[in-house]
Amino acid sequence: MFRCLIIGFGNPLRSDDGIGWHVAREFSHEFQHDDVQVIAAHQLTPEMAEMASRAERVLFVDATHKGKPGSVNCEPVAPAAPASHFTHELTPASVLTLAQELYGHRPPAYLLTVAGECFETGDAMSAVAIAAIPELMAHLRQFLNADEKSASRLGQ
Amino acid sequence: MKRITIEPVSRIEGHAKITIQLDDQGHVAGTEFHVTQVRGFEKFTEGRPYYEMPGITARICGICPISHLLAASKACDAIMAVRIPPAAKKLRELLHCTQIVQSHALSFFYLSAPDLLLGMNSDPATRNVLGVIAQHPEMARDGIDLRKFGLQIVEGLAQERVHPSWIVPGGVGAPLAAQTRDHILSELPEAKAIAERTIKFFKGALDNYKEEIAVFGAFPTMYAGLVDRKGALQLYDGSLRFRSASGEIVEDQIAAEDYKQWIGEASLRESYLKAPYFKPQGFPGGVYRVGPLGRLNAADSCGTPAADVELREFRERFGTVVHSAFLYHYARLIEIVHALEKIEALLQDPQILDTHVRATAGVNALEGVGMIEAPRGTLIHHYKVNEEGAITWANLIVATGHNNLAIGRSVQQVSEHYIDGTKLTEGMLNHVSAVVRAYDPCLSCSTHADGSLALRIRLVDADGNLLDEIAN
Repeated sequence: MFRCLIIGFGNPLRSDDGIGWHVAREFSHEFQHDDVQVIAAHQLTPEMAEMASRAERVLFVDATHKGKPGSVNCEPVAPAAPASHFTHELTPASVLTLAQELYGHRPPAYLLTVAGECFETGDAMSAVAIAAIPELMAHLRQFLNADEKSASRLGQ
Repeated sequence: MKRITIEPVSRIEGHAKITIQLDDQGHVAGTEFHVTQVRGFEKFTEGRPYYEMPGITARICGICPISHLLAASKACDAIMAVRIPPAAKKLRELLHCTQIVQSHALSFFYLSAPDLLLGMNSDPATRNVLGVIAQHPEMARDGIDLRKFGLQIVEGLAQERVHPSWIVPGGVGAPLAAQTRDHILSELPEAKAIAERTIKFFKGALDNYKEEIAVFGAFPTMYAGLVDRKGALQLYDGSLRFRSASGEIVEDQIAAEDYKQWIGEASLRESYLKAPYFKPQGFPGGVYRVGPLGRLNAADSCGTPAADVELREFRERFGTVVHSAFLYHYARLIEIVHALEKIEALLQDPQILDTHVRATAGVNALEGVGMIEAPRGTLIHHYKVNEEGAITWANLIVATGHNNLAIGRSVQQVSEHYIDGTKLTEGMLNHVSAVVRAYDPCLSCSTHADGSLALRIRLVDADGNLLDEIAN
């Protein structure tokens, strides 16, 4: 069991879509501790369900099309059955459901998103997305340092 | 005349379409296997520095980027005319065996297990990995855990799970830390246990698939794969061998740089995928198969004890040369056992911790060929460069491409057996898709140009009658 699992996911070759991946990579360089696992991934995969089942809490980081570009939002992840036929479309909720169904434990989890501006092919993020990175990193540090009670208020 | 189209073919890597022509009685009159994507790597890499090729060609695929990294780096090693340090060779081989494990696990547990465990005629809405998770959680856990084992090793060695930049011309980017080695060794027993119980399960279930074994690509072809000097299976290094359908070695110990003497490439009008063939027998007679079944047919042995026990049992049951494409699934599981044994042997070799892991040099040859056994078959990267090291020409023959002709024939065979045009069912069409899945094709990887693009345009009326046709 480890304290926190942070999964930043997205495609770094699709401009702002990769912000979760970039933030996770940056955070993993800044913070290294046996008690914390940080994953930067192109997509969510079933293997992450096993890691999630061993975490006390999980934070997903991703870009979103919704909202004003650059705006940051954090909300709890509600459980949901995997709805898609395709493992390419696993959601944070379905990863957690798999953690419960296959490994017997579903930790509290949160989804931290930033609204992207550009999702076209490209390896550079928009200025708006880049400007949101400090706020995202602050959220990650808060998540890491929060106790269980305050962690439950992250999405509020 | 009626045409059935299966599009897309599901649970494969890449994009493919199958068309089945039926006669007026509803019998199969013809089939075509279409790969519907063009990548262009051989063209747009012209002008790039040769040392960029590993990083560029890794982007061909998200499942098997390590194969391209290795083949590209071997081609670059040849251009540099270097012999990489022994530790670097061992580390490349370690990563390669790891990739074999996780790629074969993906194929068996995620892509094909839905058919094998839930039934090929089962409800397509649940005939997927999520259906396997729901109905066979223990098997699903094993598949996830085996894949996780492989991916964690990749990350431990190369710092990245997808498109790692650790494999470089001249060797690898960094030595292996003892702590990482010890961690992998600690996880190995469970991975081996998963492989053992999975192959035991599959062997026990084979009687349920007698019909599939009899008609899934069950026709004689040649087989090809890399072997060492003693004829044992070689995944990273080795020379190419061709074995006939009846078991004779047709050609042996073909060095990478000599592949063009033996392998020709043809363009097909119905597909963007090239069709390699064995040159002495011409096209299309020179059909051969690669990949797990091809390798085990070509080699005399695996060269590791547990895998060789499995291989002997495999041959006792199905023959010295095994032709049924359904048994690619079995061969894939034997190779997982073999790769895990290789991982253990490599990690127990003290030389793998040596810190000399990269040779450096400039351009010392204007041509280089790298050849390895990717999970899906023999992979060849062939580059020509100018004096400044810029790519002037590149040719990639990618694993699944070698199997193109055989896949097409397999589709025909399965269609003729299962398709009844008077009463079509989804399960019939899934059988046709399932034979493609048995080859575990990586179509995005394999579709490259040979310098020409065969094109055929057919004009048909509303009833499917051909009105006109032009072709180049």
